[in-house]
Amino acid sequence: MLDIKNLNLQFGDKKIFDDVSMKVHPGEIYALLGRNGTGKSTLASVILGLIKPESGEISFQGERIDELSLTERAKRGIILAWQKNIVVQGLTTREYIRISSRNGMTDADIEACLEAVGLSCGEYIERILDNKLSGGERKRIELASVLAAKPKLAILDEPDSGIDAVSLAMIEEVIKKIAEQGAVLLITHQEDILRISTRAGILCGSKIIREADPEHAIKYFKKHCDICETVNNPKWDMLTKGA
Amino acid sequence: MINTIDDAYSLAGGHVHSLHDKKIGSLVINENRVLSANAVEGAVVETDTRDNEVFIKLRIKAGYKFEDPLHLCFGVLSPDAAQKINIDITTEENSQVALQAHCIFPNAVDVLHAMDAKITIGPGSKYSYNEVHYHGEQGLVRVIPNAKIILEDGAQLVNSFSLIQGAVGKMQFDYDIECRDNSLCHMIAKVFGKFDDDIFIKERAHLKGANSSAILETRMVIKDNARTEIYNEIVGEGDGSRGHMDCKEIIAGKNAVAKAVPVVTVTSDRSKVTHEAAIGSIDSDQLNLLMSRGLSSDQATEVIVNGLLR
Repeated sequence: MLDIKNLNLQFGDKKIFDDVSMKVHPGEIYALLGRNGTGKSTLASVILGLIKPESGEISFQGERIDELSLTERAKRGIILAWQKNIVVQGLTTREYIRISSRNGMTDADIEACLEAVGLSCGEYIERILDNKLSGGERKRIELASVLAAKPKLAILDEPDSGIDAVSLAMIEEVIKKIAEQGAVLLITHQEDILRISTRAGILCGSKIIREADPEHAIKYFKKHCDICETVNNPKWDMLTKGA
Repeated sequence: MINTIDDAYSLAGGHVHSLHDKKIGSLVINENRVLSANAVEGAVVETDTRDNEVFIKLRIKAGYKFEDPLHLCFGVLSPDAAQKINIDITTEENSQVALQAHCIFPNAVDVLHAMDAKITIGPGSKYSYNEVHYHGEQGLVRVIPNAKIILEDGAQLVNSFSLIQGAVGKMQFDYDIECRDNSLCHMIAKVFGKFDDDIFIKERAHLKGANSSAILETRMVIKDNARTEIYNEIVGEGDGSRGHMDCKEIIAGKNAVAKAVPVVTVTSDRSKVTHEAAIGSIDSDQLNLLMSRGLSSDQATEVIVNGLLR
């Protein structure tokens, strides 16, 4: 479904992706695992078309999408649940979900999406999406909007951050439901949500260093990436080579 | 060409029955002629026309609290005419009223709409004034509203001015508000400037009284060759008085020019006045968010602009 080949990206002196290749198959929940700052969200931006890589190919459902705009990629069914809380002044939950659904949703449909993520329609449908909402509420509305979009590929950037344990179980069900319609690329550095993934890739040191089932991936991640993080830390150079 | 006030009123989003239902207080003016004035119990309306100017006195009697708004319609259907309104509004002690005003100039080629208002909001009374403009897409309307407003002890004012539909033309908006003890004032101005619109807004709130407060809020979007100048000033004098100015403008295109000047004057060490002003292009994060849901750049911009002016 999603096929990334030989992706290279550099910001200044920093290599972000060094020949990264990966695939996400239909029905899959592919967890992209990595420490903070390893480029997980940047990879999402590249897939969306917000950042152009120096080289590499991205195909979606057999079609090269490298030159397509953000809008065109969204129309093909690649939908991102944003990590950061972006406020569009005056926009209500109803309007945001309706926009995400390409204006095809009735209030009853919107209610179903909100209730799937554990939010009461009566309380939230008219709410303005401003900073008065908590991080957890905003995350859940974001996920409801992705559900409404009926994506072929949902990229969920840390959908579990700010979510309590009870709500997490509900959100995991929604992610599974989205995967049934297409596929999910799940970006996270948390262990709990990995249990719903079908496969995981570890992004570390500008590369996907390993792909495995979630259980083995997390073991490898814990063992390898703590060391990797230390080695890639600029302070390591200071300690080993002298400041 | 719109030929009747009723048609123009509907076009501007008004409900025509509000102007004809005898149970609803209303006043309808076309150019400098009073077409109808329907007073309801608790509201006293007097009108007079002289020297091509309409004089209106509206008094809300003490203690009367209106649940439904009173409707005002100021229209000019001619392409070329001048409308001058002189309005004197008093809300007596502990009254409550909301005025819904539509100012409609759908056929304007060269129209003047000038309003001089003197508004006294009595002790403990609550007054809200919502003015919505409907202009044609082309032509010139000169909009010149001036108001002197006094909020007596414990009075509350919410004043909303919206000029979003059609070309603004040339606007000179000058409001001066005096806030006495424990009074509260919230001014909201929302304008969408385009073509060669020239928009000047000056609002000054003087927090004379103890524990008085004022918010001056401005939301603007300008494009093409439009220009805006916003001068907001709050003077904090009374002990415990609080004021805040908030100006947000979106500017689109290379020829539009936006200028915002917030002025803070505080003469009491127990008063606090703050301000924030942000003028800039469409926020790229907001644009990306909406485009990542399949909207085109133009569609996303429209959603952002409408949200700001809501």
